[in-house]
Amino acid sequence: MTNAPSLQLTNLSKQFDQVSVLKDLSANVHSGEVIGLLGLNGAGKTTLLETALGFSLPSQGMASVFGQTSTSMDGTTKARVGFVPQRDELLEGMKGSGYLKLIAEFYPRWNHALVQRLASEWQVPLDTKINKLSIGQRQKLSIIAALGHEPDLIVLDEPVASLDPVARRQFLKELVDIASSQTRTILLSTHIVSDLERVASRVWFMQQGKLTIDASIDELKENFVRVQLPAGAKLPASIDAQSILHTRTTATGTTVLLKDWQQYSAQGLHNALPAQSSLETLSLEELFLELHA
Amino acid sequence: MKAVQQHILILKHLLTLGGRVYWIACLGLLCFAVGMAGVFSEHSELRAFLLAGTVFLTGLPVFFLSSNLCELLGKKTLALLPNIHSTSIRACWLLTTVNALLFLISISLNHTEPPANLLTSFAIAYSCGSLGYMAILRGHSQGLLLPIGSAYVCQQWLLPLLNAWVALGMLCLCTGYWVYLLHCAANQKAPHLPLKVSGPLLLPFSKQQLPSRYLNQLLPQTPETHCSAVESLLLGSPSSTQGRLLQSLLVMMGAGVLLTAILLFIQFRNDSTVSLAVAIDSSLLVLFLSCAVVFCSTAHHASTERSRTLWLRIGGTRLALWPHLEKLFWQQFAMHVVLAGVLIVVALILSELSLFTVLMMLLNALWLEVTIYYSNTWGKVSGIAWPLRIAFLIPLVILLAYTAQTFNRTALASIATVIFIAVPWFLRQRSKRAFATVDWQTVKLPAVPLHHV
Repeated sequence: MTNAPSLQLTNLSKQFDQVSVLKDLSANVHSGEVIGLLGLNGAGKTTLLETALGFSLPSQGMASVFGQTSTSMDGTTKARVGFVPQRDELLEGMKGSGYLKLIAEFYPRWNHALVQRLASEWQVPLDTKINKLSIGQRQKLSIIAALGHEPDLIVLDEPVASLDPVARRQFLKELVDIASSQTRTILLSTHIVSDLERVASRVWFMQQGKLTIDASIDELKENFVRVQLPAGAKLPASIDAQSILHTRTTATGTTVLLKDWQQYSAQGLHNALPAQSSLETLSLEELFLELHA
Repeated sequence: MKAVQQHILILKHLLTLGGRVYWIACLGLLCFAVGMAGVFSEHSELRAFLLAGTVFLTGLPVFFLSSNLCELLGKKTLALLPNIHSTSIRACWLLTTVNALLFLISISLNHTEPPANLLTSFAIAYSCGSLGYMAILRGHSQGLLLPIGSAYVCQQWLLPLLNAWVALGMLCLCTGYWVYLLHCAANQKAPHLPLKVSGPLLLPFSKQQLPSRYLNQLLPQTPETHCSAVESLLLGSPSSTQGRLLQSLLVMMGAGVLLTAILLFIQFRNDSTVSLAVAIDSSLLVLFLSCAVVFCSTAHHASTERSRTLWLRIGGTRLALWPHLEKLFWQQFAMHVVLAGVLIVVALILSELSLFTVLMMLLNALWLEVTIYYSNTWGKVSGIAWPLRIAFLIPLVILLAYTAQTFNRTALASIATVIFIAVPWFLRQRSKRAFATVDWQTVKLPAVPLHHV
């Protein structure tokens, strides 16, 4: 096993019919990290995940998985990757058990006990034909198939979209268990931001094909704040204009979304805010909404 | 040991695709068994069933394997499996070889047929199989009936008209296509990219979006926000479909002309007594009929794709578009049938086909198109999809009997004609009743995100 990053993106760009979907993305994912990928519909999340795993050729730049170019991974590297697509790709007409058997046969190691446990806990009827399963059950089966070989890199594209709250909780618990191993990497795209807050160690924000934020959850909470100023009051002049993400003015006052707050806080700037102004840290969901306001 | 297990599982999957095609294979084996009975008994006329079995079983590599291989390797999650690519392709070759051996057995056992005709039969099976493969590439198992039905018609009426050289050419063309497909699978730019087979022969089957202005004419009340979803549901505008069809036809005709030239050259070098007129006549006939089958399969594709999308993707209010779709379908269907008819009439003028044969071919095409269409749509509504699929077999069984020539031809043709006309009529009446209770005005179209369609 090498020390290469689990996933490395180098100036990755992707175009479809002259439309840029990914724009010059660079990032590294190291083992033990749980990355949450956030973005609006059409931001390029699915394209990023699929290009990163080599399902389509990048227009420019490259993606590598455990040090190998993602479009030419050998069997050993493939065996270290698990992928759950947005829409399941199960083989219709097969039974769940048959499908898992087919998948298991291709991997050098397969944790049958884990698969059995998950199928039982998640109530996936393995003896039923896949085309008779509900969307949620299919999604669960898809996740189980991706986890059975205990991959070192797990990429999940909106895996919980079709799951009920109980199943979602069970799935997150499983992810937390996997993440606690500190040796396995998870890259998870989802619209349920509260889930990410529970499991992710780092968050990627994607906006119009660009990776606009790449930070840990703690960094996000420390750096992004919302300042409520009373009517007529202004921010201290020492705050750089580039740190102001957006401003909303109403009759009662002004709301300002600031970044780089940790740096200003170190300078004692929180004491320099106008009287009656308030400062609040943001949850991930609030930050997401503010960024896309 | 693990590698062997991998191959067995992949082979099983490629052959059965979850059991969808067991019944086709069973039918082939049944025919083969009846044919074998003819070999070992005094009823030598039953040997003709060997040919029927061969059509089913030799068609397998083309339309089962191609479709299943594409399905298997086209999935991202499966493309990530170590060695899936090489294992699948090896499994495909293995099955193709087994099928070829089966064909050789049928040749050696069927002493009543001259080898040239058997070769022709084999070629027809392959050609029709290829066309069927294109029809089912997008997952329509019912598309299997198109090649099988066409194969029987071709086998019954065209066999005497084709010479061995043309048959050999068809065989080469279709085998070439199969090899091309495997070549695509084996030599992609990136070994584990999901398989995307493209090529001129697949063009008519690409998804096309309906132009917005056409859509707006069709659905003036549809809110703008829903247009993209609706647009994606209505696959294939008449103009773009025709454009792609034309491209495809040009490729087929080009290949046919080239092939004919090569064959004629070889033929004249070896045997100067062969009639040029007969050779050209046969080649043209093959060409025209191929085109006709393409037209029919495009209509079939358009209907099944549209109905499949309609039933599976829109959810609870899926019926909203139905009256419009039906109108669109019938327009396209009629257009394709007319075009196919024109081509067959041209073939009739250029060859020795009888009017009766042409009529039967058209009926066969109509039968397949209409019945498949209705089983996919009304069949699912009224829960009679499977009885309908079984009903498909009736005319095929009659054609089988025809092949065996054990019954009176005229009587069989009459029965087949009645079934061809009566079943679609019955289905139409039934569907009218099923939909009579739907209040179209109250059904609202859901907003479906484009990427979910």
